[in-house]
Amino acid sequence: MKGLHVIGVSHAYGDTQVLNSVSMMIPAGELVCLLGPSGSGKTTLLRLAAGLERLQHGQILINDQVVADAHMHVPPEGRGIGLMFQDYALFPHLSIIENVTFGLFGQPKDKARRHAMEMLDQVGMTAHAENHPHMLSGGQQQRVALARALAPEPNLLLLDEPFSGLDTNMRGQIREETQSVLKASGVATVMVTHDPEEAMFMADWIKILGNNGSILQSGRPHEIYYHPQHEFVAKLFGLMNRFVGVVKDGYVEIPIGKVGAKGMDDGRRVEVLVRPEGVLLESNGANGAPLDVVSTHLLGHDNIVRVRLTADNVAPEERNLYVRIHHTFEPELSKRITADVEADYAFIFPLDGAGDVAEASYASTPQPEAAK
Amino acid sequence: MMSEATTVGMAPGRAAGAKSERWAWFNVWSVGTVVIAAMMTVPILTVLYIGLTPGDEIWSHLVSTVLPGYITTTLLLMIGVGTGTFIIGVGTAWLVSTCRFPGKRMFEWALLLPMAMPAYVIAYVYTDILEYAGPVQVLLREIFGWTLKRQYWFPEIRSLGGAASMMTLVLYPYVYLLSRAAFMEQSVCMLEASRVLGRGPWRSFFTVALPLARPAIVIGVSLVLMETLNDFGTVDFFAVGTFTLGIYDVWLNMNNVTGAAQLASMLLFFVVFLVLAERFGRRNQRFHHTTSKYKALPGYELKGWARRGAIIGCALPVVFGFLLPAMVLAGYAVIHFKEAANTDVLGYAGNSVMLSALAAALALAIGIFMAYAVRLRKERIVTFMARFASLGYAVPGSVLAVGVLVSLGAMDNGIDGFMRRNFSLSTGLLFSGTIAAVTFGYLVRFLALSFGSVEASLGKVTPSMDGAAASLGHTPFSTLRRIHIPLIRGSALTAAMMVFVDCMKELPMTVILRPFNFHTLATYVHQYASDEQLGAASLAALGIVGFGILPVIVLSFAITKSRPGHSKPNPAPGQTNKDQTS
Amino acid sequence: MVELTPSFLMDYESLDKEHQALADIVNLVVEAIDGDDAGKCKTLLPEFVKAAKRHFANEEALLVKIGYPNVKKHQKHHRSLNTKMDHMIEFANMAGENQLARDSLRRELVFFLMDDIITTDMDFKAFIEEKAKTGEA
Repeated sequence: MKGLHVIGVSHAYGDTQVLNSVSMMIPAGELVCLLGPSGSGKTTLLRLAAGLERLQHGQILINDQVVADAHMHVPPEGRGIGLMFQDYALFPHLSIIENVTFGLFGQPKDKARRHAMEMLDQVGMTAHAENHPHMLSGGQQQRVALARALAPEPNLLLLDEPFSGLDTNMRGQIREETQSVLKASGVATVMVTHDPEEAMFMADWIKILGNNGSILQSGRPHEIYYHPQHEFVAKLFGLMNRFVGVVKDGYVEIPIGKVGAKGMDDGRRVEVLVRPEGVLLESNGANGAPLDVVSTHLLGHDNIVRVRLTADNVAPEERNLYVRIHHTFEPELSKRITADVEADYAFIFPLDGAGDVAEASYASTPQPEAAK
Repeated sequence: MMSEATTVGMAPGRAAGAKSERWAWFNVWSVGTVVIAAMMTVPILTVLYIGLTPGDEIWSHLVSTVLPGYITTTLLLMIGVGTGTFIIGVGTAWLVSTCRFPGKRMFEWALLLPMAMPAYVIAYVYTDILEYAGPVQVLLREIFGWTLKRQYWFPEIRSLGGAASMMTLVLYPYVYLLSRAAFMEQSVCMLEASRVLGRGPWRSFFTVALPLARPAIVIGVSLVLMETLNDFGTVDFFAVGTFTLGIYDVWLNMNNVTGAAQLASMLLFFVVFLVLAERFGRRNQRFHHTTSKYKALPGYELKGWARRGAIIGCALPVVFGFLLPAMVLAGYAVIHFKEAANTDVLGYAGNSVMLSALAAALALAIGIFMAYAVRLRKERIVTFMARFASLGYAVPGSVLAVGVLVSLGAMDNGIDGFMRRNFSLSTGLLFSGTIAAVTFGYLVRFLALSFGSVEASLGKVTPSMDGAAASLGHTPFSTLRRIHIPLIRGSALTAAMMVFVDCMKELPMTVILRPFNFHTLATYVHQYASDEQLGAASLAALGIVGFGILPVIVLSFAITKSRPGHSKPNPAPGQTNKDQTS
Repeated sequence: MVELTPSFLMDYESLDKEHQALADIVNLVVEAIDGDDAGKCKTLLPEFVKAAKRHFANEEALLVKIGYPNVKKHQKHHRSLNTKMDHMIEFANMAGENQLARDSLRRELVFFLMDDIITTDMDFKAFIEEKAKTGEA
C-alpha cells in the first residue's frame, strides 16, 4: 500500500534510547504530524525515513519498497523523498531557481526550468527566481525550500519543524499556504513539530511521541485533545488544573464537582486533570464552589482568569485554578462567583500501579454490541 | 594615555555633547589610531613614492634584462605552490572532516605540524638529503651500480620545482585549516539536502561542498601566495629568481635603492591582487551561512583501498612536511652537537627571543588600542586607518624592509641635518641599522595579526557591557582595563604568541634591517645552511621549529574543542555566541 | 483503497484472515463513499466494529495462550480504541448527508485499520513466528 510504513523501529545514540519500537503507517495523500517534546526522537525518525541515519532496528518501507532494515540501507538519493530542513538548508551559492532545479537533473534543462518555475509559481516566488537565498526573508526562504522539496515529485515529503524559524505573525499565513500546496500535491507528508497548536492546525492525524521514544497516542486532533489516553498527552496542550481524588460509586469528587470514572474500581486513587476551559464560572450561582477572582488576563478572544477557591475543606495545592473563558465574560466582583467542572474537559488517570484505562476488557467481558 | 582624573565623575554622554560636532572625533583614541596607522603605512608609501617617481635609467634597464624573468618565475612559483597547497589542503581537509578511517582524529591536528617549519629550513634539509652527495642518491647508486651522474635522472632539488615543493609542503596547512573549517561549518544539512534531492556523495561534494567552501579556499590560497611572495630563504638558497630575490639582489649587490623600490612597487601589484581576492573571499563567506544548525558530520566509513588511500594521503604531507625534516635535524643536532651548541647560538637565541618578545608586546598593545578605538569611535576615518595600517601582513618582508630602510634613512638624515644646522651636532644614523628598525619592520608586518584577533574577540563582547560600565561611572579607559581586557585575555595572549613566533621565523626583513654583525636564530641558520653547514645550524633550526610548534598546539586545541555540533564550548560570560543567536 | 501488501502480513493465517476481512469492509466503505452511496456506511460500520472487536478478543486469547509477555499492553491498546470506534459510528451515521463526516470516516477508518490495528500488531509478529517454529502457536 502506498505511503510510508515504519515497523518496530528502535534507535539509540550511545546509551540513550531515542526511539522505542515505533510503528506507523502513513497512507499516500495524508499529512501526519509527529508531535513531541525536544529530544523525543521525532527528528531521528525523520532522518531514518530519509536515509540520513542508518537504521539500527526495525524496517522502513516507502510505497511497498523496503528502504531500510537490519541488513540493507538505500542511500537518501535513492529513496525519492523530499525533506525540508528546519533551517531550510538552501544552497547559498545557487540562485533560487538553481536551488529548485537542483533535484531535477537528468531531464532537459529547459524542461527542468519550466517545472521549477511552476513550483515557484505555486508558492508565489517566481519574482525571486534569479535572487540568491541570502536576499530573501525567512518566510520566502521557507517557500523556496518547500518548492525545492516538492519539485522532484517525491513519494514522501518530510518536514522538520517547518515553521519554527518564522515570526509568529507570519506563521499563520505561511502555515495556511503550505497546507494548501501540500493538499494540491497529494504527497504523503510527515511533519515533525513540538508545537501542539501547529500540529492541530496542520495535521489530519497526529502522533504523539513521548519522552521514552515510543508513540503514546495517535488520532485526529479532536481526539487527542478531548480523549487523551495518557497524562503526558493531556498536559501537552498547556496548563492543567490538577486534583487528586478517590473513585467512589463510579465517580470522583473534586472541589469543583463530580467527574465520572467509568470502569474504574472503587477506592482507587486517581488524579483528575481539568483543562482551563473545563472550569465553568457562574455569577450568583446556587451550586458550585465559591471562589475569589485573583486576576484576569485578556488574551484577545479568550480571557484567562486566576481564581482561588474559598471553601475551607479544599487542599491548599488545589485552591488556585486557571480558568479560560470567553472574552465577553467579565467577572462581576460584587457578586458571588462559583466554579463548576465541565466533564468533557476533565481527564482521569490512575495514580498508582500500571494504569488501567477506565474501560472494560474485551477478553474478559463480552461487549453488548458483540453479543447482539 | 588619557588621564583618568579629568573625566572620572563626569556624567556619561556629557563629554560628547560638550564638544562641537566638528571636533567630535578629536580625542586620544581617534588621534592615536590615526597617528599610529599613519606610521605603519610610511614604509609602504615610501616604496610606492620612490618606485613610481620617474627619473632613473635603472627601470628601463631592469625591464630589458631581469624583469621578464622575475615575473615569469614568480608567476610559475605562485601557480605551483597554489595548485599544490590547494590539492593537499582541500583533499586532506575533506578526508578528515567527512570520512572515517583509522587515525583520522590524529591527522586532524597532525596535518598542522608542517606550519612549524619555515620553508627555508626544510629547503636546507631536503637539499642535504637529495643532492648528488646526499644519502638518497648515494643509496640509489649503490643499489643500481651507477657511478656517474649522467647515468641516471634525478630531480634537481635546487630548482623552481624544488622551491615550489618546499613551500607547498609547509604552506598547505593554511588551506587545510580554512577549508576544513568551511567543510565543518557548512553543516551536514547542505550535504544532506543534496543527497535527499537525489545526488550521490561524490556529486554532492563537487556541486555543493566544494562551491560552498570556495570563499574559504580562496582566502587560504591567497594567504599561501602572500607567504610565497614573502619567501626569501628558499629562493635565495635555490637561486630561483623571483621578485623577492630580485629586490634583495638589486638592493644589496647592485646597491641601487631606486631599482629595488621600483621592483618592490611592481611586486605590490601582485599583493593588491591577492588582498582583493582574499577580501572577496571574506565578503562572500558572509552570505554562505544560511544554516545555523550544526550536526555531527556523518563520516563515510572508508573501506579497503579507499581507507588505505586516505591514510597514506594524510600521512605523506605530515611525514614530508614535518616528521622527516625534524628527524634529520635532530639527527644532525646529535651528531654535530659540539659544533652546533656553541655559546654564540645561545646568544642568537637570546636576540631572537628579545626582539620577538618586544615586537609581540608592542603589537599587542597597539592592536588593543586600535581595536578598542574602532569599537569606541565609529568614525569612518578611524576604521579606515586601522584597516589600512594592518595591510602590512600582505606585503612581502623584502618590500617592507626597503621601505623601512629608506624612510628611516631619510628621517635620520633630516634629524642629523637639523641638529648640525642648529646645534652643530652630528647625530649620524639614529635609527637605521638598529634593533628599533627591525622591531618597527616586524610591527608593520605583524600588527594585523594582533589587531585582527583582538578586534574579533572584542566583537564578541556585547555592547551592553560598555553601556553598563559607563552607567556605573567608568571612563572608556577604565572600562577597557577592567572589563574588556580581562574578557579577551585568552585570545589576546594567543595573538601575541602568534606574533612572537612569526617574528622568530622571520628572515628577509631581519637580514636587511639588522644591525651589523647582529644575528638571530633565523639569520644564523640562513647563513650557515647556505654555506652547506647544516650540521652547525641544526640546533638553531630546531629551536625555530620548536617555537613554531607553539601556535600549532593552540590551533590543535581550538580544532578539537570547537567542533561545530559536537561539544560546543560555552561562550564566556559577556560574550554572545553568534551561532546561537543568529 | 487499502491493500494488505507483504509488509502488512503477520504470516499467521488466522490473524491475516481477520485483518483481510476487516480490510474488505474498509474497502466497501471507501467504495460506498466514492460511489455516492454513503448511506450504506450506516450499516457497514456496525459490521466493521463487530468484526474488529471479535478480532481483538481472538487475538488477545491467542497472545495469552502463547504467553506473549506484553499482552497487557496490547489489551490496553485495544481498549483505548473504543472512543475511535464510537466516533466512527457517529461519522457513519452522518455520512449520507455530510461531506466532512465522509472525509473523516474514510481517513479514520484507513488509519484505524492500517496503523492502529495491523501496524501495531507487528510488535508481536516475531514472537508468534518464534512460537510457531516450536509448535506452540
